[in-house]
Amino acid sequence: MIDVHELRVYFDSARGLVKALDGVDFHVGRGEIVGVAGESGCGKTTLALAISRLISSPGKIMGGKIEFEGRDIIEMDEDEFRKSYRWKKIAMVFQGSMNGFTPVFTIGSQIDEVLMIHGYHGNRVDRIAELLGMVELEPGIARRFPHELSGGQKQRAFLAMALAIDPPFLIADEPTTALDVLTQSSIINLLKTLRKKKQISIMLVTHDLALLSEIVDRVYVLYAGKLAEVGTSDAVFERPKHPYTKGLIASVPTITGKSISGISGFMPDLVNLPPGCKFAPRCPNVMTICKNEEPRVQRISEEQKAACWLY
Amino acid sequence: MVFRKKPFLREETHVKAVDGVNLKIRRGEVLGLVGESGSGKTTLGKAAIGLIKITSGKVKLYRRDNTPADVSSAKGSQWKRMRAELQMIFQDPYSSIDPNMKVYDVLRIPLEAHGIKKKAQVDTRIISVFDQVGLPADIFNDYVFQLSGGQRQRVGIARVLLFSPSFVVADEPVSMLDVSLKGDILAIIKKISENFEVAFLFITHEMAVARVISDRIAVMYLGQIVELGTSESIVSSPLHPYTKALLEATPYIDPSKRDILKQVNIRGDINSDRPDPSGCKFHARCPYVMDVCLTQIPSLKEKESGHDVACWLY
Repeated sequence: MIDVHELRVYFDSARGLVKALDGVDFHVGRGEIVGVAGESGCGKTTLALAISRLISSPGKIMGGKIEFEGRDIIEMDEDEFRKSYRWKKIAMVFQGSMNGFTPVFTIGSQIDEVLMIHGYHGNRVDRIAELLGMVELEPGIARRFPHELSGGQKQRAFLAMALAIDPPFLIADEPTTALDVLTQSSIINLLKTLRKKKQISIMLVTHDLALLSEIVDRVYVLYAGKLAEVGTSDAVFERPKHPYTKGLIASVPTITGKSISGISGFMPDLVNLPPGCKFAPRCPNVMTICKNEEPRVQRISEEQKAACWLY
Repeated sequence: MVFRKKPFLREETHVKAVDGVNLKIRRGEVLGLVGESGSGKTTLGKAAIGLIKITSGKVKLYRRDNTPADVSSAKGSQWKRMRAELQMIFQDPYSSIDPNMKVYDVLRIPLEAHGIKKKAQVDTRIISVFDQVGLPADIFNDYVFQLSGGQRQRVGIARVLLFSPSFVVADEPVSMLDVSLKGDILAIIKKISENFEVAFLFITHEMAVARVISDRIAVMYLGQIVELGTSESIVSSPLHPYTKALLEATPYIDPSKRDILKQVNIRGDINSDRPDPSGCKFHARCPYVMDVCLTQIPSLKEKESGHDVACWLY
């Protein structure tokens, strides 16, 4: 469905060139839920923005390809992308989406506008009720204004709006981070149901590893703009290969109460990246070659790939 | 620390942010306070150290020499002395520490405010707290804006330790930090609690974090504590339907749970602006609701040794 190859996105900042994404491959198949994990500054949101064609100055796509259903969407004319792809085929829900509603119109009228603009031919009133029902909101919400809703309700309403035209591909970037755990749980259940019923493909970007492990088929782990590891959910969470992935998993607090470790050191400055492997300064298994040469992504098992000199 | 009933009224509409909470926190204990937004947990935390005026009830601090002191009504120099013993770690390290100050000054100024002015004394104290939080002395002259979130949070904790407090309220101290940094901060808090017998009220909305750091956990809903027990018993044998729902909804790294829809059978949002329902505040969302729940508020009672719950099921 979506194929990203060697994507490079750089930002021109006052301090220098920020290599937010530096040669990343990414793929989501039909009906797949794929996770993109990593901490702040790893490039995961940049990846989501690049696919949505929302990278704007000072950021620029400097290389690579993004193909959606076989068509190159980087080179595509903005008009065509807006008319045929954005919202119709590629829908987006971001962390602050709940604030994306304009406060002066009702929720219903805003969803209605989306339906009209994208040429929805059925009965719009019915469709709005159906969409709200899908996200477990009562139909009366359509008549309310955004400020009358709680954060969780707004986020769900936005998700309903994103799904208005039945897009086959949904990008969700930290969709539940600002929400309470119970609301988060119901939204995740909703995404699972959508995949089952409509075969929708989902790209779920979040730092919350526990959340990812509950829903994704495959997961990409990014570090400092590069891919550290990718594999099936089982493989990566149960048998992580890259030291960063291992450190990350060991840092997640769990209900069992086992004490958690951290990863020493800090994320590198994306303007002044160290030579060689970007994780070398913090890696417990670092070797000489790591400081000099960057490892390429290699297949480690049938279900896993990692970029690490240990393999 | 001992609290008694404390409703907190705001403006004309009487939002009972904290409504009848009784809680004892022991010396050197880490008590996790778990609740969602709107549960009143931050209000309770602030009231516990006198940052908010309480409407009724008492907050009593038993000082290091065991003399009781009333936090809620202290004034003047008595209050000033008590301030040093009661401290708070804030959620957002970017907005709770002035980014335009030098790190050294962030710690020097409170010391001077409490009469410690000689450079040698100030330096000794600052180096000592830096050591406890694992910060290198060479960042003394850096500006706070040069530090990362994790480093700033450590400065925030160092600031709290300046006066050897006996009670610290930590309000979501790791919520805004990346996963790889949480462990370190939690370890620092645990170490301080054990080595210096500092009691912590650790406020969080994440059960997993509470489980890792707390000795006991109190679960809060709409201004009331609905369950209280050791963190082990709360997690392995939750009693209150709300606690069970929170645990069920908490994601857990376990790929075998993928594709299974979570059985969280309560609906709706915690809506703290709605007028107080009569009876148990949870009844509108409770899957086990009975007639008595609609009219009478259950009080927190001991169900098993050291495990209290406020629910008509018991």
